[in-house]
Amino acid sequence: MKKVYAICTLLLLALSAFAGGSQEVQTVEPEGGKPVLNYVYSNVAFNPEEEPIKDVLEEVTGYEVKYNMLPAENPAMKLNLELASGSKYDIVRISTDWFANLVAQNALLPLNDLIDQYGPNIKAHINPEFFASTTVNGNIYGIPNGTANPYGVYWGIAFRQDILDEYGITLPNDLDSFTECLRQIKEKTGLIPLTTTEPLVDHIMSAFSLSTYAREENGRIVLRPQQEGMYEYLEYMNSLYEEGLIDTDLPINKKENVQEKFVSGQAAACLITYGSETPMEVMLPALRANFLDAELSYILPLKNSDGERQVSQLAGVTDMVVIPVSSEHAVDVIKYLDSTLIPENSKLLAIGEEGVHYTVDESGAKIPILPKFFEDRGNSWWLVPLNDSYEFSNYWAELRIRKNEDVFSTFKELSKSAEFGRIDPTAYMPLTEVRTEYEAKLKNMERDYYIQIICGAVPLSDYDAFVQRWLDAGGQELTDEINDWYSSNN
Amino acid sequence: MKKPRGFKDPAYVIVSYLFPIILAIIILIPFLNVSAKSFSSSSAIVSGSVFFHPIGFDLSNYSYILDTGLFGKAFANSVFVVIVGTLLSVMTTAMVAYPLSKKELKCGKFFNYLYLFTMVFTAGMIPDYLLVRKLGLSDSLWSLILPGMIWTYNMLILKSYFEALPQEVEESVFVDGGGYFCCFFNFVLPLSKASLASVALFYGVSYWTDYTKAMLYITSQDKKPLQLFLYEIIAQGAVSGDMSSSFTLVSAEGVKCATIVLSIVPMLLVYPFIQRFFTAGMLLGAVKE
Repeated sequence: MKKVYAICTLLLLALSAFAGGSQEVQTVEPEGGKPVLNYVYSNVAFNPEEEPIKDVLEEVTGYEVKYNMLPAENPAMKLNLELASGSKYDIVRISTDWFANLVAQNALLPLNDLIDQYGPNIKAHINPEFFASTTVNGNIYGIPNGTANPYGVYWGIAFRQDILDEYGITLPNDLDSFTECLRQIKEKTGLIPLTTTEPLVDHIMSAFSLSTYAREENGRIVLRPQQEGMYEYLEYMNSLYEEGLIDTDLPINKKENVQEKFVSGQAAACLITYGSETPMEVMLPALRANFLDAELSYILPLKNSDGERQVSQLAGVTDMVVIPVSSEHAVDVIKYLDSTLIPENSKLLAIGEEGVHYTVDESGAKIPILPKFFEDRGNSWWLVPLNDSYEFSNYWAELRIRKNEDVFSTFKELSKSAEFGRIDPTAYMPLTEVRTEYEAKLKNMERDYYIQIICGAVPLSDYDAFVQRWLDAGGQELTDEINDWYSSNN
Repeated sequence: MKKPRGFKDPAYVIVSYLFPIILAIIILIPFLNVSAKSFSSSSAIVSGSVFFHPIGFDLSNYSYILDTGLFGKAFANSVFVVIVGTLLSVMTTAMVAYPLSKKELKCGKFFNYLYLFTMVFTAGMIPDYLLVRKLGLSDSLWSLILPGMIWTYNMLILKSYFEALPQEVEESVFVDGGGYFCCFFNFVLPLSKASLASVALFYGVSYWTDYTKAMLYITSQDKKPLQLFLYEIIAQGAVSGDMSSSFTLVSAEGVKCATIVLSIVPMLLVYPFIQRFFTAGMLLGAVKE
């Protein structure tokens, strides 16, 4: 009897599976015959369907777009699931680390012919160098966006100038004066001299001639753990930690703790960025509220023994637009993307209209009209799929970063270090599977280890063994692949 | 014989009062902290000076949340899912449980096994996802209700309750010329109000708290239910995005806290009225005569 049940159940299940195989819901064709395009990108805390930029996009391109978002948790998994089941998406915007996997799964449409035929503006306004990242075996699978602030510097160290003045401490310039400054802060004020969550501090690494993750040494690319100076840097940071000159909570600090310590006056210096890790639009007003005469000074990258400074610069591709093979509207997608890159359109999308969103002063500088600029263009980065590679960084540095004066002033201070910038030689290397598999994993492994070694949980003598572990964990493979690419391209 | 230690034993009194009080304090402290932060100014929050009472009283966290309109939408979505989902679930569950409780149902055992089968074996996430997609339910609030509308466990609770109803009532309906439908709607359902209420409560709470379905099936911002909205605000910390992402001029922590408080309030208001059904529900079907 039980067998009969089992068979019947299986039959029923099979039947219901067939019943589920009905037709897909088709995208609705609006008037004029242009399809509604389905766009998907990361999770955000606003509703893209209600953003003013949506109507502007529709007006300048003639296409209606439906905006979808991936969940905050496991977005890559969800996207894989959707693409594998024949998703409805036409325009998929992804971060660089998902690219190689999707290509390997044959989930993406090659775009060469489409761009040749329908994308004159894509060709003209996207930097061909960026395309190197999204081209596999001659096939272009994605249209890339470069960093909004190319050749800029993201992190810096800010000191509380008012505290330094009060105790007669001078702002450091090289490694010795830096150590001395932190030591005096500790002795004279009892404050935490420097607080951070990061074991790698660009402006200190400069003193050891370290900056980018990959660096050329005698014609070969060497990655950070094997770079000359790395051991000395860790040794120095360890000595700071042992002496209590950097925050002893380093291994457990979260960004909120760091903000709190700096804003409440428990720490005299802090790693600062204009990005969301240290939200200056909230931190600076709070600091001023707590300390009336609070004033910040930013240091330049510390001089090395030869008197040189260096700092890692932002460069490369941040995200890209791809078209899944299941999309039925590939031609329309390319037409849509292309029309967003027509110069007057991309300008309108990025910064709006003069007199409405910004004014131009006598020196020619653009100044945003707040809050209108912020309301209409604040979230446009999510909806506007592509940025003009050549113009967007100007729009960004002139106006978009100016949504708030505190953020803008921080940006300007950090930019003073940019003249010592170094660009990673692998910034425009293709996103291969080996890179995707190892790069993030190895960097995490390194970060954990650096924290351990700085805090003395692992003796410095272990470093050679760590490098060996790192090589075994994929460091060797990654180094080889990067060098193969480097030697064939230079 | 030694008497058991009574209520008057001081040790008993101290322990029985002290322990719940400590427990209550442990539960209250984080809640107080969260609500204090939600009413504090962003400077006070980033300075870390807020503990149990608001510092620099400020409603900007709340106005930020209510201005974006997302909270209201998410809340309305959740209310819709809870009300419609619970009604449909209770109705269909009862309609399944009633025939299955009848001994005269042909192949009754077989259908019983079919339902029990779903308790032991599930298809898993990917087939579920495919099914919802192919039914055209993705990105619709119905995808939060229709899959898993009947829980076998709740169905069994109702079934065993229906089985315990006196046979004579039904027989009297049949004698008067009524059928099974008449009997079900006019006698069985009204007689089972207490157990229906408990089952409704189980369904209601699960619809209110579930966010995993929404995470899988919902892709539009304005169709997210409250729990997913809340989860994402907390999981994301700050607003995610690239360097040109927006910022809010209120601290992310404050917004997080205000959202939590706003979503706790309705539960706090409703809970005292439904609490008694919880205890009643626990014992349902536990004892069978």
